[in-house]
Amino acid sequence: MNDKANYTDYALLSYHHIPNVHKLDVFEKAGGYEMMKACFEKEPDAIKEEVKNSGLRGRGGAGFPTGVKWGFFSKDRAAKKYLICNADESEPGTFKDRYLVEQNPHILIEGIIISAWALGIQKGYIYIRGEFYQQAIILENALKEAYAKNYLGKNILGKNFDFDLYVHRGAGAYICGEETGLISSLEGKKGQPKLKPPFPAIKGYRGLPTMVNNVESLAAVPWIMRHGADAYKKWGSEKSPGTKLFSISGDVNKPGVIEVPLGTTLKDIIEIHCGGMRDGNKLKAVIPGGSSSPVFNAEDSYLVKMDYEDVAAKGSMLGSGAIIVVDETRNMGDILKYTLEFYHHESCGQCTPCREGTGWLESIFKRREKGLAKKTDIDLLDKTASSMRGQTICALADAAAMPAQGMIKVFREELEQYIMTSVKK
Amino acid sequence: MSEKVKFSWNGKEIEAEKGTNLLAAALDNGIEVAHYCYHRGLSVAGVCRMCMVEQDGVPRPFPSCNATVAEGIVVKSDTPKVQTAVQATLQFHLLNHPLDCPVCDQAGECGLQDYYMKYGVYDSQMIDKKAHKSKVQDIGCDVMLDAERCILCARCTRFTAEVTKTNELGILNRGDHAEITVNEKLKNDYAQNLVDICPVGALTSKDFRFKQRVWFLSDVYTTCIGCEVGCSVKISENKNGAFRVKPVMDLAVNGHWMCDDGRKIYKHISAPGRITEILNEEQIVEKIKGKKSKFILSTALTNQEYSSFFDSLKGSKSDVALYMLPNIGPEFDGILKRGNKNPNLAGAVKAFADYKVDSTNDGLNKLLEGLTKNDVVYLVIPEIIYDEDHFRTLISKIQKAGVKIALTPSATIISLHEFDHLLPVPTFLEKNGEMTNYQGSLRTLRAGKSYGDTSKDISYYAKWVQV
Amino acid sequence: MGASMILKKDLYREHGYLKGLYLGLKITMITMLKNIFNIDKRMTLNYPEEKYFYSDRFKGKHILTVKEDGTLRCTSCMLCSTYCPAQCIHIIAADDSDKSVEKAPVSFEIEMLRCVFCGFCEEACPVDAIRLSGEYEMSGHAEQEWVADHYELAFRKTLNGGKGIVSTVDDSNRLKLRL
Repeated sequence: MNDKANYTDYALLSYHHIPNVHKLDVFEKAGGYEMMKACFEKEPDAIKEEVKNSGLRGRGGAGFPTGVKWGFFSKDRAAKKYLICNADESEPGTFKDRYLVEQNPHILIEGIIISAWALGIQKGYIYIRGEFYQQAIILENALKEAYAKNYLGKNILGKNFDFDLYVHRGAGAYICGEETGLISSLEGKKGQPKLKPPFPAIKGYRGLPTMVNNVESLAAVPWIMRHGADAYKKWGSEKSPGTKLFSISGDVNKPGVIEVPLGTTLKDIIEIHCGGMRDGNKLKAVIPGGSSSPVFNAEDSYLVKMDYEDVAAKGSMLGSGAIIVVDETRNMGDILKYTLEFYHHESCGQCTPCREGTGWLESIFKRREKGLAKKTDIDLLDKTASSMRGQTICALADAAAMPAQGMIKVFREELEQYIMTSVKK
Repeated sequence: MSEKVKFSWNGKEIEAEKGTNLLAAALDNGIEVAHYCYHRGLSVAGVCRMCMVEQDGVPRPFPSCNATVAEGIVVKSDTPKVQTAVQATLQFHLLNHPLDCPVCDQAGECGLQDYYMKYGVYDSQMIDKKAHKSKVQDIGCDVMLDAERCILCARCTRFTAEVTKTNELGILNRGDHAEITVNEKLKNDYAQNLVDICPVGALTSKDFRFKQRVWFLSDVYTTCIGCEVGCSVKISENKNGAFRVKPVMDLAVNGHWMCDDGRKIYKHISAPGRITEILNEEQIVEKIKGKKSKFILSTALTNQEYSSFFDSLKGSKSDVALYMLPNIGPEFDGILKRGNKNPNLAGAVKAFADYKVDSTNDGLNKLLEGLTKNDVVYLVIPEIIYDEDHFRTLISKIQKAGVKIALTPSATIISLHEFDHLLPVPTFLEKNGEMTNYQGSLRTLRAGKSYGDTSKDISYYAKWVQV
Repeated sequence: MGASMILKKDLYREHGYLKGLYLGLKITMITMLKNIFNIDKRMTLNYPEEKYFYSDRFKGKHILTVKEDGTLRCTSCMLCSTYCPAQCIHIIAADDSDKSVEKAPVSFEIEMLRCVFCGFCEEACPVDAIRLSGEYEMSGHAEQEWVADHYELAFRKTLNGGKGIVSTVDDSNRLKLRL
């Protein structure tokens, strides 16, 4: 990644420069699992307090503070509860969790064990995306090593604490990245989100309290415990502290995963970390938080600071931190077309506005293929998208509607031109 | 008494029991709320997104079916935000709907049609290709499935999962290709309820299919005579006859459902060949003069009929016995159906006891054994006969009698070879009265239209005895 | 009383007998003379040898239209019989063996003597299956059966020689959307 950076500047990627760090002995030599052992000596509430103080926000997309979420969780340590690590990273443009798991699965496992200790959970699952076959194998091997060392299993390190961790491969549905959809899928049902309330923290997997956290959130826990909440807070802004993994794709010279403090400007990310625009082309637009976030035009992109508040203030969302950079050679119509196709394909079909709406958005936008397009179709698209928002159980309808509405807001003329270009076969 | 809470819906003060579903509370108080997926007898799915409401202090609209009432909440469903949301959602519901109302049996009582009149976007903007799914599927148990008309409210899948626990139905595929599919065929005794709970025309009854348009029918709210449960039902009929039976919610007796056997109780009412008039009345009266009358009653008569019958018989030396239908299947199947098929057994036994007549099988056997050439037997044919062989044994036993008269509410299996005369009595849909079910509660029968001479019930024939 | 039958004495006194006759029959006589000398433009017809053609809007005997394959277009939705003010349309529907048709009439009868030829059935029909034709000759005997069944309504000799009137209204539009 960024060669110039000092690896002590990283939280999540602090071990990534070590070769073969995915092996447990290498990881331990570098200081891994130390914090786990240290945390077993601490009171669980102290760990929870520390995470809360660090201000770590859920890295899955919504950005809800992890410590606060843990605070809602059942405090009865004897009761049966579940911890689920959400590694079903399916948002187009996102590949940070894959990179993290692939390079260093043990930092995640350590984070999960610490969290399970803090929350008093006996059983955990890593729900990994079905397409991540290699990564699932890496995780399985890592789990085997951890079990061999009795970091997992019965009576861990003689601390009278049992914790079992399993890897569960999904079957390739985007919607299983949504926590209740993930739980349905894990239960063996069709991956469809469940009605909230009740929230999973009260009634989740098999009707028992379940904590669902993103890979990146859990992997940040060991670092926070080692260096303390204050050290973590030094990075980032007041409301968005810490570092974040960004997966950068698109028309830049060096796409990939980087770890930077929240609040780094998008300009810095593109120019310094990614080596500038490819072929020196002009920047046209940036999708800042995965395919479901509204797009920024070139001016906004250079101004925005990548933290939860500033991106939201500029009308988009940080999401999972998938930055898609678009240069002037691309047509925004094509991008929207592929986005709408994706959401149409991935709608679970439960709630009507999403089931029918995602399909219709796509057909409206593709009317040019039958020579039926009118200029007013853009208004219809906008209206349809707005009537889908906030109407469904999960946020997939919003995820399909937001990029459409955002794109119309910023690139209306280009889209009008695009749909009026008949490509009737 | 459980605790009551007060809340306001669109400014109307509503009182409901604590913990009641918000949507149910509103519906109970006569407020019209558009909804498809919510059904009182099933779990909450919250997928149709039609029952959206706004509540003071809650940032965005939410479905009222997934909320419970609470003291003092202020709920509104008539705000512009909710109205436009419902309008848009209905538009989405209709987007891939085939709009084949002309050939759809549900037309006239369809949720889509009803709400379209209220929330419809009348200018269609849909010029795109619709999603196509399989139509005209016979999924067993006389249920027809049209996946294209389906709005995927999942009431039917929840019904098979939660009520019958047979899980034959499921939703296959995702997004707008999702469709209801059946695992092999339906195999349960309550499948016709699927037709009732389907808010659109996706599930229709094969029995009722294309027989009538629903707007030609009127409903009679009465009681099922299929077994001793006495479910509340409504029977749809017009001048051409009765056409279907549907359950009516009655939490004390049948809840929301009824069994498939009960769906067939209407068939004899307007069947061709039903005995509707008395031929040669004077001849018959002449023939039975001086003979001893013996009556075998069925258990499908009303309490009023029993007592007026015994009253008319007073003073004569006639014998009376009761024919009880044999039990079919298990005593109770866990949902509704009971093995005892005598609809008014309790009422009959009580009436017989009141008039000091033996209502047991011993009484019947005694009557049958004592039959001679000098006897007239009046056999009241049960309206619904499940076990024909059992009934035929009874018929063969009365052949000893001199004159055999059948009092029949239907065109039954019997013929003039076995009986000398067939005389009409009203069916359960042609008389008012009460029956007593197995719980001991009174179930009301209400008369609809008449399909024959229904003025003469069994007490009319009882009066012949004294001539 | 009864002295004189003449009602307009003053006219009689003025014009005399013949002129009165002429004045009374003036229009009749002019028309008669016109007809004698200008035969083509006379107003009466030699019915039934000659027949009058009404405008297309005339509402006469019903037609059931057929599809291109010669089967009835009617889907037996019964909107016509619902709408009919005379309640003279009786339809019995059944499953069609063609699953794309689904529902079709097995019997379609119109009681011609009850029909008031209002044309509401034509208006109610969603698929252009019933039309009122220009046929107006429906005379017959009292004992005649006055119920027209669908063979008569769709395939009588006057309709395309017994093959029926083909209608494809809206079909192309509908099929386009089903593509």
